[in-house]
Amino acid sequence: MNHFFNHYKIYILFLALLCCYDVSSQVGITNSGMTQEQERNQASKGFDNSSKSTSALKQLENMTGQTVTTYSSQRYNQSNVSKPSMSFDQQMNIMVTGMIAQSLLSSLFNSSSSVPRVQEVKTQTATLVGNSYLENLKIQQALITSKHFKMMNLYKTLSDEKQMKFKSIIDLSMQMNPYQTFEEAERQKLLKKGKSITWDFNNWAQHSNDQPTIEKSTFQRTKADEYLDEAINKIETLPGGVGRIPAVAGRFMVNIKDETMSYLNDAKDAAISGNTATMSEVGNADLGKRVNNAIYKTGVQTASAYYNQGKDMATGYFDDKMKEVNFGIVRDAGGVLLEKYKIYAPISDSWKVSIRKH
Amino acid sequence: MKPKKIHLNLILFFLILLLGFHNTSAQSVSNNVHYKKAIHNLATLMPLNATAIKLLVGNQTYSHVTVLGISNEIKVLENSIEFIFKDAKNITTQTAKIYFNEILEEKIKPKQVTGSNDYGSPIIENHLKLGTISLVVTNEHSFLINNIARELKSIQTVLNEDRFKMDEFKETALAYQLLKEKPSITETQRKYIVQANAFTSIMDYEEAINSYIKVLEINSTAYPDAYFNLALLLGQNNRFYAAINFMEKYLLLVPNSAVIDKAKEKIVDWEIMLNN
Repeated sequence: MNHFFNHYKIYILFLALLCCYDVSSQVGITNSGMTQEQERNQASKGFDNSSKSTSALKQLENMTGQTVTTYSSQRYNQSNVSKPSMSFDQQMNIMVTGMIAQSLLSSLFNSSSSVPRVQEVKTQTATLVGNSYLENLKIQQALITSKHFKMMNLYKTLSDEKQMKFKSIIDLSMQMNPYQTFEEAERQKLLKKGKSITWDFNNWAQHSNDQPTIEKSTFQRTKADEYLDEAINKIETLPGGVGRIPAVAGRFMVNIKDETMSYLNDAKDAAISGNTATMSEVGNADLGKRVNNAIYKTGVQTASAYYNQGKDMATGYFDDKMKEVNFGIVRDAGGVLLEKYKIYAPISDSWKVSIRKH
Repeated sequence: MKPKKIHLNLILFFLILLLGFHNTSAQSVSNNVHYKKAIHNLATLMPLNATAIKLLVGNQTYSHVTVLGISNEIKVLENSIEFIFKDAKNITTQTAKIYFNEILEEKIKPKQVTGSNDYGSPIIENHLKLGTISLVVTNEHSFLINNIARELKSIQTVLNEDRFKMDEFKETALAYQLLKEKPSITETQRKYIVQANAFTSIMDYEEAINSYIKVLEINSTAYPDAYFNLALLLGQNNRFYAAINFMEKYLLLVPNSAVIDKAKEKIVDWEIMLNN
């Protein structure tokens, strides 16, 4: 079968070349054999379309009676390169024949039979229809989408709604004070419900900045503590004032003991409560501030002791009322001086450790 | 006894009839003067010209159309128009009904259609699409279809007024505006709003509309934006009459809205769409 097709192609090629020759002779590319006189007569009638005619250039020359000098590449290179002499008609002949043969050849090799060609045409139509449908569908879809987005520009969502009320995690209506932790708020809530709460958070941590009062120890003072106080007072009043420094040292030691016991008590309560927040706060307490507490307390106690002693010594010079006022000034001045030289730090700022939000 | 010949048309018809044609609030408007007048005019006009009116039945998109032909009798009832088809023995073979409450969203406007008869000669027909049924008359009877359309539009207006109860809503809106503390939306409403917005985002407008209607059923003034969104969604579904009404309700509730101009523009757009 392939063999047959090969022969068939060669045969067609041969026929094509033959036809080309015939066609080129018909369109007047070759000389027709007309005489110059006959051609001149024909030229007077304009361009010749008949099968037997000269080339267009010659016809022009005939019409005008002038000769057109053509600077062809052939002439320019005549002296240098020897080329076979060929007339213009012959050149045209070769060119046209070549073009036709080329087109025929390409058509021959591109589609070998007519049946697939028909199928191809049919498929092309179907493809075109399909493409057109898909194109329409795409346009429709694009229109719908565009319409949708246009609407969505105006569409109101819930986030636009100013009246919307979202429930907050923390109920603000609980009236928390700025220093109250979440745990304390919870504790208050439980107390309102009549539940028993042993941990009093405010006892040790919640102090206002406006009231730099010393935190009271939460443990009970024993009889031994009272005896120690009395002993210190006696040492302080020893003749010649020799007991004053030991008395201050003694008071300081007692206060340190009180602070330590108070802290341990807080730690115990925090551990019992099981509340991680309070345990964390106790753990983060600055113990250095406890020492400052002890110094402050010692200072105030010493000032009070001097006041009491001096008051007793001043008997007979002032009346009782005057004595109270004057020595009161001295006592308070002692406290002021302690504060001025920052011998102590206000407990409210120091003991109140940073309360983290949970 | 010979078995009756069952036509495909007949089956189609009964299917259509079974598909949720139901009586609605026509009774509440039956006393309306305009409604009564329109019914009376149709009752005079249609039975007399029954032979001039041909019927077509199509699906929603009108991609498949069945020609039913000319009915033997037309009855105009309080809530519908009935087309009766009879056989040679004058026995009713099929009935087609157009319920007025089924054409509330229809654009009642006759359309001129050019076609050809069996011999290929060109003919001009006038079609009036009413839901799945179309009334068809020849060009010589165009006046008839125009009159029918006019009366049906009048009926449609009365029914829509009753449906949207605009007068009642005006009072509701006034009361709402006088409220110092506006009602807040409930959790259930919020759920439906979220659902509606989700349906909108996936372009399921019908479901979004249903969700917003549920929001309004719970409390009609707690979420005024529901009216705005509903109007947009209805407009998107080519239900322009309802869209206009909901947008008007929104403007009554929120007269100082930031989108007041846009809302008014939309109403104008939909009015144009409705009338053209």
